[in-house]
Amino acid sequence: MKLSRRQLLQGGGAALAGVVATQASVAAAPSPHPLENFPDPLAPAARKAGQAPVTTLNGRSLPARWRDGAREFHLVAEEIEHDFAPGQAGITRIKAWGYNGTTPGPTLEAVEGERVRIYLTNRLPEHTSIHWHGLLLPAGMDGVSGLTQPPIPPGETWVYEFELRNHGTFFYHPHADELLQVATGMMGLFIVHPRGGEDRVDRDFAMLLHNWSVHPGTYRPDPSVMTDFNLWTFNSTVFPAIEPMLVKRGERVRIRIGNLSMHDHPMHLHGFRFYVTGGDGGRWPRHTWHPEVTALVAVGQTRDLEFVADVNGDWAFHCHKAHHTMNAMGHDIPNPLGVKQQDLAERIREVLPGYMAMGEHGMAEHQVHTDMGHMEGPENTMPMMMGEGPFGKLEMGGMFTVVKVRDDLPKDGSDPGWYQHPKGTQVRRVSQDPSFRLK
Amino acid sequence: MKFPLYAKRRTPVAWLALTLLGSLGLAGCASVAPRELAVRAQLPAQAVWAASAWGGATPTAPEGPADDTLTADTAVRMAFTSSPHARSLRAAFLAEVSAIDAAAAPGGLHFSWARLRPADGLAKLALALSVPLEEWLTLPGRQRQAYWSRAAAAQRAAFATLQLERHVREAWATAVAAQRRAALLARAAETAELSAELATRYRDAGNLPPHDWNEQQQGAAVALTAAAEAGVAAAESRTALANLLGVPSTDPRLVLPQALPSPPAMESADNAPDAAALTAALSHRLDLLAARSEAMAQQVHARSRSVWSRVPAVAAGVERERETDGTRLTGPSIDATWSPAGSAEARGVAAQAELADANAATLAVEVANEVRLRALAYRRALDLDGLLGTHLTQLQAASVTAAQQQQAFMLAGPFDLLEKRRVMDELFANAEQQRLVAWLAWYAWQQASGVAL
Ligand SMILES: [Cu+2]
Repeated sequence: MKLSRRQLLQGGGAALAGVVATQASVAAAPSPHPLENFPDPLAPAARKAGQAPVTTLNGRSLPARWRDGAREFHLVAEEIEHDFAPGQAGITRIKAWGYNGTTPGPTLEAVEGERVRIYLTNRLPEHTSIHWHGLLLPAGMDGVSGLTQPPIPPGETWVYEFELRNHGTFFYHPHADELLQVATGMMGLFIVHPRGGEDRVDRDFAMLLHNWSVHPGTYRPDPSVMTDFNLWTFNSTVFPAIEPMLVKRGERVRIRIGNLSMHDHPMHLHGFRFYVTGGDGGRWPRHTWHPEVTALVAVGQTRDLEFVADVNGDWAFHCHKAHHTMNAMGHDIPNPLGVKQQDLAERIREVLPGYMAMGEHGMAEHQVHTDMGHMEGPENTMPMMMGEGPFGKLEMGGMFTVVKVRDDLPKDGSDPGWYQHPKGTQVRRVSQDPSFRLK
Repeated sequence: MKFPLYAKRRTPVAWLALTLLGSLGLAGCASVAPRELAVRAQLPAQAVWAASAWGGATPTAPEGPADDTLTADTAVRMAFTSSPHARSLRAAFLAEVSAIDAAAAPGGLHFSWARLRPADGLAKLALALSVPLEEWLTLPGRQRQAYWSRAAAAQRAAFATLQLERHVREAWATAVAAQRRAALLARAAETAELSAELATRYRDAGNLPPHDWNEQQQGAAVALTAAAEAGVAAAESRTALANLLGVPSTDPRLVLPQALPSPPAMESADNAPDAAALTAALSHRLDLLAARSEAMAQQVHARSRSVWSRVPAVAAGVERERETDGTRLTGPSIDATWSPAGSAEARGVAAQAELADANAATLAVEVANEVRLRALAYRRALDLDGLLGTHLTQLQAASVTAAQQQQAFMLAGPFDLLEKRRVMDELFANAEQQRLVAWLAWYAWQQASGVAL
């Protein structure tokens, strides 16, 4: 017997009916939701040949050259200057470690079955290695310092060479002094496209999730921190500096997510249902796919989310752990919510000029103050909430960005701006309508 | 024993000047300008000149008060002009000098007259006039002794005056520091109270566990106690100053500056006073000069006693009598007294002189050592003052700013910030205390070196 999802839903409602009859009747009633006839998210891509190039948000793919029967890459491990929010007022600039001048390092793209030859030059002050996370390769190429190879000393160049036997979303990172080297930003995506080119998509976005501890007023990530991080990043960038994902309506979209942080992240997409189509173990069998709006990407995992973007709008995409969509904030401060202290604040200002009582009515006022520069924060520290949208402050930071779906996109790939909502499709105020009355 | 400064000025003018200055209790008031001294004490110019040269304490013009607050110099002037302490110094000096003058007076004259009348008949008249020769013969010696005794008295009086000045300056500095400490600790207590009240607001909102609330209340109680103690200490030290100045503690002139100025800088050479500095101290310390003068006086006295104790005390004169029968008799008379105790007394006086000399020598050693010790103590106090006053307080001020920034970005709570603020005031209070220690060490060092305060 084959059940549609609709039937499954209704069956669930019927099961509940025995307990709460009224709820069962609501569930059984025809849904008024206009999107209930949501198209099959598995609709094929418009693209009929080849692979869509991977868009590494705020990043790039590393150019390769073909030589002696192999695709050659050259990675340089080195200390770099890194800005978590380029172009934003709030800044956090650090000395990070990365590859080829950035963290994450450039994305490596190759095709299943190819031979890759990857040179690694170590310009770090200590030895390193690279582990190719998820790739099937000879043990001697696995990059575990001390186990499968000697550490690569500073100043030397070593070469990894192997055949790509599996396809999917992978990443690379050091497996030498791993705690420190990953904490300081050494990581990169390694995407192996399938040889057959099945499951094509029109947009192929990729990101590495990471967490950082850059104590306010400091300039280097603290590798000793185990759980209490204060910066949560897509490709080492925080909202609102994270690039939006630009999609034309109807396109099939893939979002590749790798997690090199120390926390699991429930990644949530607004507006669409997606299928998790694969991970670092490769593409999943179709019969295991099921629709989701949130996918947990655990530590050391990758996940591919695929969906058809058939509704225009600006759709949020973020980690659903609320503290992961914040920038630096205290996690053990006394809770100011509901604390009446405005009169006291005046007296406190006599001993502490400039003192501001915050949080009595909620934390949102914080962004108002920081945006307007009322309060000076510690040097090299971004406020916890940032971002300005068409309707006000977004009060977000960290792991947050927007999928922008439009009928048309600028040819040059630039941002189309904020979504213009068609009349009658947006929430509106009624409390001031003269005829408004709640029954 | 040589006192070059003093020996050169063994002139009546210098004497007059010294006596006048000493009697006014102003001889050591070195920080008062000579011109001002002359005007106030209406002294002849020579006296002022002598005051400048004498005792080595170089007069310097005090800095005028920057505002309406009571400066240390003004306090010293008030003490010298209006306090009973200065009066008692003057009176004690005058009494001592009078006693010395009495002991150095020229020999006297013995005169006796008697009229003895029988029941009937002519009265018998007896008239005798004699001169105690020893008193006249010892006069030059006694005057030399008195010369040194007066010098010792004047130097002691001047030293006592300098000490009074030092006490006034110390009391002034103590009162200023105590006042600032009290103000800072009062603000610290206010901050702690605000923090405790904020804790109550948090508790009332249901956001603060009782344990944390209790901690805040305890913190406020501790800070309030410290502030109350500092307030009492400030009142006490202010009263002590008023007592020294001889005014009621409510005197409107007792408006103290907010804080102590930075203590004077120290040359690195001052760490280990050299021979010149020690020599200067040895020739400038008034108590040492007094001890030496005293030793000289004793020496002169002993020399004189060693001669005169061996001979009887002789008085020579004339007597004239009229007997009852009218006969008149006239003739010279000699009266001699000799005591076997004389030589023992002479040995005793010689021992006293030896003792005075030894005392002066002991003091000289102590002065040299004290100069070294005080220099070291001041260096240490100055270092600590710099560390606390500049370094730590700056760091702490920065930490308040940092806490403010942390709180602004919701990285830290208001209690941390208020605590930093309170601790900063407490640290400033400690720094003021250390600054007072430095100033006290400065006074001690300067006075040990015989330099004007
Ligand atoms: Cu997360």
